[in-house]
Formats: sequence, structure tokens, C-alpha cells
Amino acid sequence: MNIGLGLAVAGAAITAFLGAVGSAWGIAIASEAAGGVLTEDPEKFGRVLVLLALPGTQGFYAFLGMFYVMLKINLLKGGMPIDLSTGLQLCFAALPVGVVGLFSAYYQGRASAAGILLLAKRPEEMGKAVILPAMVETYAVVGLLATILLVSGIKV
Amino acid sequence: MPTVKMQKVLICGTQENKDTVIKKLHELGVIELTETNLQKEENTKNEDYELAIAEVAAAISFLEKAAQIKKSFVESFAPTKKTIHQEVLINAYKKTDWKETVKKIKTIEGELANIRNLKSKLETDIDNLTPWQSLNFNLDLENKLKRTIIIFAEYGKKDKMAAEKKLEDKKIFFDISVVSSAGNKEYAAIIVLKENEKEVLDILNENRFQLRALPYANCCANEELKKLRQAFEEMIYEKKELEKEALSLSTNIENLTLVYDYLLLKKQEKEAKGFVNNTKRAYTMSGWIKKKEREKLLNTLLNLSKEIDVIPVLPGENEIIPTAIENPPMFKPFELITKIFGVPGTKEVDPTQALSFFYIVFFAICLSDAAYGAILAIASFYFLKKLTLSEGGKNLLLLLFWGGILSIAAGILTGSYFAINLDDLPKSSIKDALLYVKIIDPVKSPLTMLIASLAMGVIQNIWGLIVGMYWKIKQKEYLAGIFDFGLWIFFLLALVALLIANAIGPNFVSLTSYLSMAGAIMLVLTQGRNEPGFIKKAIGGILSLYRTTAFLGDTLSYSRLLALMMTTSIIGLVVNILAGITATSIPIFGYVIMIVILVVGHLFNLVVSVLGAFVHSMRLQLVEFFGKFYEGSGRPFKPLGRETKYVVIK
Repeated sequence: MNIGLGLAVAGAAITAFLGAVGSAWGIAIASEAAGGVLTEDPEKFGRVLVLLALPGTQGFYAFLGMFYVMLKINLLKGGMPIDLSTGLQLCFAALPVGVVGLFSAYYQGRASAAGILLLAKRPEEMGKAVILPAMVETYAVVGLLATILLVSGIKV
Repeated sequence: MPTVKMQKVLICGTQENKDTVIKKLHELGVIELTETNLQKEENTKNEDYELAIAEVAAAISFLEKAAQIKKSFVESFAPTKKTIHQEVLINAYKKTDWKETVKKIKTIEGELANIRNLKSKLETDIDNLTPWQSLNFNLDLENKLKRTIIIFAEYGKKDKMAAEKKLEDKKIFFDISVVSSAGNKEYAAIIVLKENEKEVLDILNENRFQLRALPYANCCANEELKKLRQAFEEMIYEKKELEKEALSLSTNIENLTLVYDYLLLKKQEKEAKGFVNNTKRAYTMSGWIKKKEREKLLNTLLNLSKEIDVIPVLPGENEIIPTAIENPPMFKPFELITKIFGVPGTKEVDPTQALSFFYIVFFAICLSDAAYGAILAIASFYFLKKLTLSEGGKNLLLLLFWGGILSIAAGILTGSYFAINLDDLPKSSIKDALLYVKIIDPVKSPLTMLIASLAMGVIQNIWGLIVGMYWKIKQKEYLAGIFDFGLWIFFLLALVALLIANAIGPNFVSLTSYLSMAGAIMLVLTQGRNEPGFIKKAIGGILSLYRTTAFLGDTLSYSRLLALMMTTSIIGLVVNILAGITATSIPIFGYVIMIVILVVGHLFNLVVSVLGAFVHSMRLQLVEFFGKFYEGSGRPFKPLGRETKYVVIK
């Protein structure tokens, strides 16, 4: 039994879980707004789809964070023995992208919904409608960077 | 780049040439008419056209639904427009019986709506009557009865016993004849004496009997049901006939779209007339035009009539001059980004060219896969050639095309081709060549790539200040140019030099730190210069140093370049690993599934990465870069022009 490895995997798993949940949540919020807009004007589907897909990136950022930890501990080939302290380090290092992803995807979903409503009234303002939720995503990117830098700094 | 010089003009002419001149202006699309407060004689209401447009639009959408025309995914972004000659449009309006078609469609639509209502009514009637079909007396029998009444009811079997017992207890005569039953429910005709009606109804109510009203027909339920069913059949037939007729009318869709656009143009012309000041014999109208186009416009109009002039005039005191931006064809696509933020005010610089290089390089870094870049470039090139697009759509595709081309280069430098690990390739000269041109692997050395990203941030930040300084000096605001931009450039460069000096060794540390301090002191001395009084000047100067943190924050924001780069390569890597696992672990079908995973996975990654690259490199321009020198406070120039929905006129 290797507790260090277990901790590292736990961190990776939790982060993937949180990010994915956040994205599902965010997309659901944006989809509710999209449904309303599409009942009035189904032709906006393509543009609305772009907006409601935006909160989907957090899930992938978190997945990426998980995968980065997996590469670090060589989990694809069975994993390597890790001591307790390193395992704990990896566990915490994995978390930023997941936790930030959970909340930022939720709020980005709300921003996307606002963008979709903007699009309903002013279809020509697609650029601005995309930029607003993208401002929220910045912090998901920061979370991802934190995880990547932390994990790459840990010596196994 | 400065913005285009605008000129306000007054067009004067005689009533005889008014209509032709407005038509010409509408066709040319060079002038933005402005309202004048002199007089507003002409009725600007457009109700006739608006009504007709709405009717034609409704007819088109009805026919599209009837013919089940579905728009493709690409078309929902960029509807294709046919290019046609003006004559075709006029003929469609004048020489076809589109009014008749629209009328017919309206009738069909109305009838179909009636049928929908009738259908749901018939369906409920049939449903209600079905349980009673074995009733063997006429439904209006009750009229002929003198002393008894018939109650039709639906009830549960258990409730029946309770009700019967109650009725017997009260010594009421009754007869319950069950007509049909379904599961736990029974349908029955209950016959009672008229004088007992109230009592019986109370008892039935208490026992949850549900009373049913059956149609008053001069026949048995069975026959009535037959009649209803026949009516239903007839209705379905009629509906099919109407749908057939609608389908046969759908050949008119194209013609109706032409009529729609014709009406739109007519409406725009009429709106333009609202800007005209009329006298009995002459008229004037004023508007904005690009300065260099005034002469040309005058000559074109003189060809129509001699009694016309286009006179340059001074704008009103509080009038805002509209902004038009023009760039060489190479930079044209990047105007999209400037326009999203807002066009420059009259005294601002047009930032399009200044941002173009950074935007496209950042896009390439974010995508950073040679294969993805090639696919993106080919796809956008294909759509550029195939679709007739609005200017915005064309610019967008051109941006994606160049982004794709540069991503090929970025992919080669990072050794990324469908995120395949080059080390895993079989030994060959191609592998050696690919490895030779690869200079960095972002997944293995994220720190180097992070520093490179931040360095690009520093460069673009300082570049923004340089553009700002250049513009201030060009505007002859020398003090602002040198103090607010030049000194900051010096200070930031000194700080960067200090950082580098610290990293490479002790040789230049003292020199660069003196330079930094000199920069800081100069900033403290100059930044408070607009405040009144010495103390406020000093405080303003010292507080200005706080802006350094803003520069730091802006620079850190460029770290997203690394993150997006890694997203592309790691998701691609995961797709490859998954495909590899299925190929080796599932017998026979493994390779088929592998191909599906590869195609779907990489396509998905491509779409997500392109979206991310597009949005995030744009954000770096709008927030970080524009923040240095640009407000985007202008009002965009919107010339009167032919705005159509379905066609483009030659």
C-alpha cells in the first residue's frame, strides 16, 4: 500500500470531479437562457451554442490538471511509489484548477446567459456577448496555471 | 493610423431630381444623412412597407416550414446571399403575382389553424363518447321522458356498492345499467324519478361519481361516434390537401425573398426621404461623407442632373463627428477587433494595425498545432471561396485563415502535429528533421514557456505605450506624450533590465537599479503636474507609482498563452492515448473505434481550441493592450446603404 500515491490520485480525481461539475452547472444555466431565446428565433442556434459552450472549458481545464498529475506520477503505466509528503503536495497542487473551475464555471454560465440575452436583442453584437463571459474565464485559466506550475515544481 | 477625415456636406437640388438623387445615394452608400431641425414636412411613417414586409416574411417562413427547408449549421452563422442584378429584383416585385401568393398563403395558414382547433375538439369528443358506444337508445331520449331522468356517470366499482346501498336505504327507485367498463371503472346510465333528482345527485357526488354530459343527438351513441370519426377523417384529408397546396406554393420562396428585399430597399429609401428639407421647388439635405469622396459624389450626381450641388459645411457646435476607419487590405480583417471594442474618437488613433501582429501571433501560440493550423486554414479558405459573406463574416474567416497559417509555424516550433509525441515515431530522417526544428515542448518545460509568455506581455505593454506616445506627439501634446508615456517606457524598460541583470549575474545590477530609481523619481516629479498646489502634486506623483502594479497584473495576464497552449496539446494527447488503448484492447473492432475516437476527439479539440485562441487573444488586445492608450470613444460612421437580407445587388 502506498499512501502517497493514493493522495496524489485523490487530488487529481477530486479536481477533475469539481471542474466537470462546475462546467455542467454553468452550461445548464446558459442553456436555460438559450432555450428561451431559441423558442423565439431558432435561427440563432449556432451563435447561441458558442456562448453556452464557453463555461464548458473549466471541465477540460480540470481534466487537464488531472492528466498533468497523472503524467507526473506515471499513472498510465501503473504509477510509481511516492512518499507521504510528496503525495500530499501533489494532492493540494491539483486542487486550484478544480475548485476555481467549479465556481468560475457557475458564474461564467450566468455571464453567458446574459450574453445570450444580449444576442437575442442585438444579434450584431456577437463579439461583445462573447467577451463578457470570457472575462470570467480568466480566473479559471489562473487556476489551471497555478496547478500546472505547482505540479511541475514538485519533485517526485 | 489616423482615422479617415470626415466632411459634413449639404446637398441641394430641385424637386425634379430629388427621387433619383436619393436612389443614387442609397445605391452608392457613401453618405450618412443627419437630421436637421429646420422642418419635417414629409411623413416618415413607413407603415405600408412595414406591413408588407412583415406579411412577406411570414409567408416565407410558412413556406420554408411547409417545404421543410433546414438551414445548415454554417448558414446559421453566415447566411449565403445570392448576387443578382437590380432588374431581377424589380421584376420580382412588379411582374409577379406575389400579392396573390401571399394572400393564398395567409388563407391556408388560417385554415390550418382552424383545423388544428377542430382536430383537438373532435379528438376530445371521440374520446368522451367511446365508452358509451354500446348504449342502445337515442342520446336525446331524455326529452321524451316525462317522469324520469337519465344520468350518465363514470365511477369506481367500489363506490357503486356504497351508492346503491345508500339509495336503497333511502328507498329511492333507481336503475343502474352498466354500459361498459374499463379496469376498475364503470360507465353507466342511471335512471331515477324526477322528484328524486337532487337527493340522488347528492349521493352520487358523495361517492365520487363523475357525471358525463353526452351530445344531444338524434341517434345512438354508436352512430354519433361514426359521424364524429368521419368528420375527423375528412378533416385529416383536408389538412393533407392544404399541406399539398402549401408545398406546391413553396416554389415561390425564392421570388418572395426577392420581393422582401425589394420592399426593404423601398422602405430604406422612404426613410431617407425623412431627412430632406423641402421647399416648393427645391430641397436640401445634410450628412457626413469621407472628405476625399465629396468631389466624386458631386460628379456622380451632376451626371444625373445639372441642378445640384454638394457643398462642404461646418458641423454644428455639439455635433459628434462619426468615425470611419480604413486600413490596407492586409490589416482589414483586424478591424473586426477594433470594432468590437468601439471605433476611435475623432482625436484618437486607429489601433488596428498596432494590434494585428500581436493578435495573430497570440492566436497561433494558443492553437500551436501544425495539423490543426493546416485544417483551420484550409477550412476557412474553402468557406471564404464558397460563401458570399458580409464584410464582418469575411474578416472573421480571414482572421481564422491567417491564424491557421501561423499556427502551422507555431506547431512546427513546438513539435506538435495532432499532439503526437515525436519521440514515439519510428526512427527516420523525417523524425530527425521534425525534432531538429522543434525548439520547445510546452508540456515538458512549462516554466520556459511561461517566461516566454510573460516576455510577450512586457513587449506588448511597452508597445502600447509607444503607440500612445507617438500619437500624443503627433497631436502636438508633447508634455503628455513624453511624461505620461515616454517616462513610463523608460521606467518599465529599466525594471525589466534590472530583472534580467539580477538573473544573469552581478555585473549590471547596480547600473540598472540606478536607472530604475531615476525613472521612478522622474515619474514622481511629473505625474502630479496637473494637480493644483505643491502638496497635491507631490501626492499625485507618488501615487502614480502604484500604476506599476497595474502593469504587473497586465503582464501576468499573458500567462494564459501558456495555459491555452497546454490545453490544446494535452487534450490532443489524451485523445491519442484513448485511441491507442481501444486499438490494442478491443479485438477486430478496436481499429474502427480508434479511428472514430481520433476523428471526433481531434475535431472537438480543434473547435474548442480555436474558440479559446480567438477569444483569449482578443481579450488581451481589448483589455491589456487598449488599456494603455485607447478609449474607443467614437461613433461609427453608418452610411445610408442597401441593406438586404437575401441577395446582394450587383
